[in-house]
Amino acid sequence: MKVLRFQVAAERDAAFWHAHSRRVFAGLGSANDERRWFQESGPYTPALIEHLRENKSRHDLFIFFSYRYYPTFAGLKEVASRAILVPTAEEDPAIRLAVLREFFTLPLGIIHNSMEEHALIRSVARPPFPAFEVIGSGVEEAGARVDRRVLDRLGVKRPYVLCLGRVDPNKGSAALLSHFARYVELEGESIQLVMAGPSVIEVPVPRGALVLGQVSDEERSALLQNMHALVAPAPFESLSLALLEAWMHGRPALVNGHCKVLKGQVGRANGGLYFDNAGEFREALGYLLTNPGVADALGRQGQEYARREYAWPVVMERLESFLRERLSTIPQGSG
Amino acid sequence: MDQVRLQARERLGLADERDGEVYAQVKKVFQAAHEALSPGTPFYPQVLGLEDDWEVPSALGWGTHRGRIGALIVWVKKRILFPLNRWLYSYTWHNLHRQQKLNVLLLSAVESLAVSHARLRQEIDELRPRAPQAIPPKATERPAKEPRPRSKDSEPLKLAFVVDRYGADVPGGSERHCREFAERLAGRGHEVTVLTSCARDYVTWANVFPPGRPGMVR
Repeated sequence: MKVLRFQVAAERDAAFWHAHSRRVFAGLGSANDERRWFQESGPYTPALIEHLRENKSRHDLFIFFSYRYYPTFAGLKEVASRAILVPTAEEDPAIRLAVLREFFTLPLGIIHNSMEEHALIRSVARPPFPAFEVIGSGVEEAGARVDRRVLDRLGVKRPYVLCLGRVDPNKGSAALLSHFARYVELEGESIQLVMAGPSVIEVPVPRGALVLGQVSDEERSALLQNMHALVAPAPFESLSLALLEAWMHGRPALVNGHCKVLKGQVGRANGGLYFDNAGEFREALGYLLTNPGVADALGRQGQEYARREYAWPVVMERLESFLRERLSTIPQGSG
Repeated sequence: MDQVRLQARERLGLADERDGEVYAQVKKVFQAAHEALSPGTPFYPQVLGLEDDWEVPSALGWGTHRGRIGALIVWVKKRILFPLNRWLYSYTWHNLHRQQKLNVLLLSAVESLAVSHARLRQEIDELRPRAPQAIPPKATERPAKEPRPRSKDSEPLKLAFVVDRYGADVPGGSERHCREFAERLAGRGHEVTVLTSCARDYVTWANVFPPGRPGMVR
């Protein structure tokens, strides 16, 4: 496996980029302004684009990740007839840019993270839509059991619900903490909320909550193995690996109902509950706590779903057969 | 009974060699349903025997022991209460008849459902031994889409991955996703090249990794 790195020709000018973003997201920019936005977003690597143009025939397929970065946006059209796009799109303003209408029709195939992501991209792309498959990413089976004393060292008391990932208002952390504060106010400290992940903001921590910051792999495993349920509060996700990991551990999830992907996944797996507001959060959390049998059953159903759809061998088999199938549609000898 | 039914159907050209079996199954279903009904529930007049046995004789004598006021009471009974009762009786009677019609209709619908259910079950049983995996599990459904020659299927692919940043210590969901795919495909014997920038930080994109080809990794 070779890794070829290309110099970034210009670093991002944050001030200019923010101003430019506001303009194009408001729909005030021309097509050229929008293309310029991708260049400003970076990483601006013209040498990489040049390399693609010159080496088109040296690879069977080119797999591009994340539509919003310059190498993908500018590079894909150079090798469009052999390009597979993994867009990793979320419901954010960039997806509404007018130049993407055509961009999403260019590749030979698209690999989606979820059905909801497909619907989103389809809604902005001009038809005809390229061949696609919902594959997502894989997730490992739950590892060996970790000594429970790790949790005591962290100050975790059972039962607890776990929130994994960055503590960031964009990830719904602030809303979760306020929902949880309301829960404790009305129901008492019957359950602990544990948040594990690097903090980008200082947040007021309500009674009964524990914000751990970055945790080690061992601590992370122990937290997943002993939790009552996982809480996924993010309003936007393209595929939540934390959710799939929770299911691999046989535990149910409590997710933000405003996030189409999370709500869709929980529905497909029948592996948890969702909440739209503080009241529903309180009801759902209380329900999972007072009905441990139901919580276990939801966790088991989630586990079956995760194993069936997201175990690595399944994902790799799907990926490879999609790539081979797409490759077989390219006429022999075309470059 | 079954024999008569079969002969009748033969004469009408509706014969089906499996009919006897089907009807036997349906009969079993109905028998079970009938036995499950608890006795004593029906209060419908017809099941109480002949109508005459329980019907109140309507030849009433309209006498009274009271004087003037008695005549008024008799008049009220005869002209108001008695017709009212009659009307109530016939109203209920008609309702019960309507209900009976509906029951017959519903039962015949249930019957035809039971017949087709039994037929379908027969068909399923017939199909089963011939195709032991008529409904394959989902996981095996996809790769089996169209069988291609084995030699081409195992040929390694030449794949190039294009991503904004790359490295074991690079955070980010899509970056990790890309690395997983690239490494696992390489592990399956494909020829994988990753084309990326020298950056690690996605805010500034400052060049930190050396450019070019740092040899083979992994």
